[in-house]
Amino acid sequence: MGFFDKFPAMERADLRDLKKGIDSSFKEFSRSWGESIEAFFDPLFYFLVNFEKLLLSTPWPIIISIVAGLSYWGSRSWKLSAGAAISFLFIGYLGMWDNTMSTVALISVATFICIALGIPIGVAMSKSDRLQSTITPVLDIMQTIPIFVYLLPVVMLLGIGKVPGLIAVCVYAMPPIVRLTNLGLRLVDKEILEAADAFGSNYRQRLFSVQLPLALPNIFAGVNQTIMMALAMVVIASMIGVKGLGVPVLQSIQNQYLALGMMNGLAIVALAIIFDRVSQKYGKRLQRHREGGSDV
Amino acid sequence: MNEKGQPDVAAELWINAVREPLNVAMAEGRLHSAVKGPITDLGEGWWIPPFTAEKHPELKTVLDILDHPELFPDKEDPSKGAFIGCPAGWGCQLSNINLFRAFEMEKKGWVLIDPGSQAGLDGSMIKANERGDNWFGYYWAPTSMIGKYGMKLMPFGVPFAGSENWDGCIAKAEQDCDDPKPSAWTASEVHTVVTDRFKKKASVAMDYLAKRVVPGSVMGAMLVFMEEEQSDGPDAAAEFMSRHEDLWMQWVPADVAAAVKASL
Repeated sequence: MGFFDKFPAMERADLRDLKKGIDSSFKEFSRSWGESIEAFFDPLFYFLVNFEKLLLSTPWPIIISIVAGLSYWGSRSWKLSAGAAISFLFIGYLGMWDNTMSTVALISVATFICIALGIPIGVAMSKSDRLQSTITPVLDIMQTIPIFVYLLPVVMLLGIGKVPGLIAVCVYAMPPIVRLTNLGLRLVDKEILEAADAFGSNYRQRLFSVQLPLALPNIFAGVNQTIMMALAMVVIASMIGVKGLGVPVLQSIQNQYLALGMMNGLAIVALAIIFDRVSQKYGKRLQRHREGGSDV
Repeated sequence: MNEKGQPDVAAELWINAVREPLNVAMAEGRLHSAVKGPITDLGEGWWIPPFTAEKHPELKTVLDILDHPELFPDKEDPSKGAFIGCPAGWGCQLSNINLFRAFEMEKKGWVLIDPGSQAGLDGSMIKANERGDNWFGYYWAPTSMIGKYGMKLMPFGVPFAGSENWDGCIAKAEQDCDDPKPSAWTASEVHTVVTDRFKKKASVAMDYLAKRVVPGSVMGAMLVFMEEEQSDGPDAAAEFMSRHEDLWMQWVPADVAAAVKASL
């Protein structure tokens, strides 16, 4: 009966050899390919470095005007624009300017990459059930796998710093935009699509003029989630040497500096709210046809 | 352990970080030190990989390294040298920041990189060693990382500048340390600490603990063994017993030693 009492697990020695084999082949891989992979990411790395330098070297009044201007352009709301400017003034006054600029650089690039990759993947997923059933488990993995499980190999391959941080943020923050783009496109009424076909629209017209606009509410919910999750990853990113608001948070967690942690945490929240409100208001403006439809 | 009397034994307590509460507890008789230095040759400091030391024999101390930031270029700003410090929030982060200031490293062309976590620190050291890149940063021994790569601890080239400078400044937050002086790293004091209850009840075990001193090189080799073989504590213990008989036989009375040996 021994078979039922004890799980027939792999022999210890075999299991150890398996683990050792995986580890050493990864090390082999990182030794032979590490440099080329790093070189592949170099353009992104230098873009990030220079973007951060640009943000840091631009005088603060200009940054604040740009923030306020962008908020107004996105939202057409004076209230929001003033709120954004005031929160940036506070952030600067409380001595978090440099860290905030580093975080803004990382998060805006990360969000941009997530959206630029995520929407096309979502569109492709909505077209093919087979693709959907392949990608969904990948998204599940991306969202649930403990972060350090893949971060340590990434760090061994690329070193610490911005690029691994960006990868960590994107792995975690991209799934919502993919999922919701897919969902939004699938929810578009079949009859509307039939009508579009009946009017003789081609594939492009059907996608860009009918499906995507109708899926916008879902897509923008995805954008919102992506931004929120990207900002939630700021602290994790700083655990692999990314400068920014996450560093003081880490420091405060382990030293019980309550005020420092709270201030930097709230700065992350403020960034999230500004990013989110502006993109949501912008999304709403794109969907004005829903409110009455007179000006379409 | 101090508050609840549990667990009974802290086999390896690095007391620099807990010196004050520990001194109080020891004075009040709640905790006792069974042995000072259960592992020899341990400590913290600044390390470089062995191949860097070989290629640049002129780098004999930290002071020599500080004159050559160009050998350790920072990826974000290759005109600067990268010094990998201690992860944010660890006690050693403060000491590293203050020593960075004390040695005027910024003026000498260095940046202090915060690896953010042990995974970050380890990862950066692994990457440098696997690729053969120069690396200069903080670590501590005995650890499997140091043992595996044969990292070289660099002497600072300056003496330890007194505990007043260290405890009163280097080990404190940056704003509480106005004038840090260059100094070698403070000696790490490690004790095996036991509770009062344990000391009273288990005198035989106390004798064993008092004798149990593991040389740093043995500990380092065992940690490397554990990592390479992916073994857990019991496996490593069995390996240690068979590999270092001469060592542990002296920790226990001869009859016990013989009995243990027979059971292996």
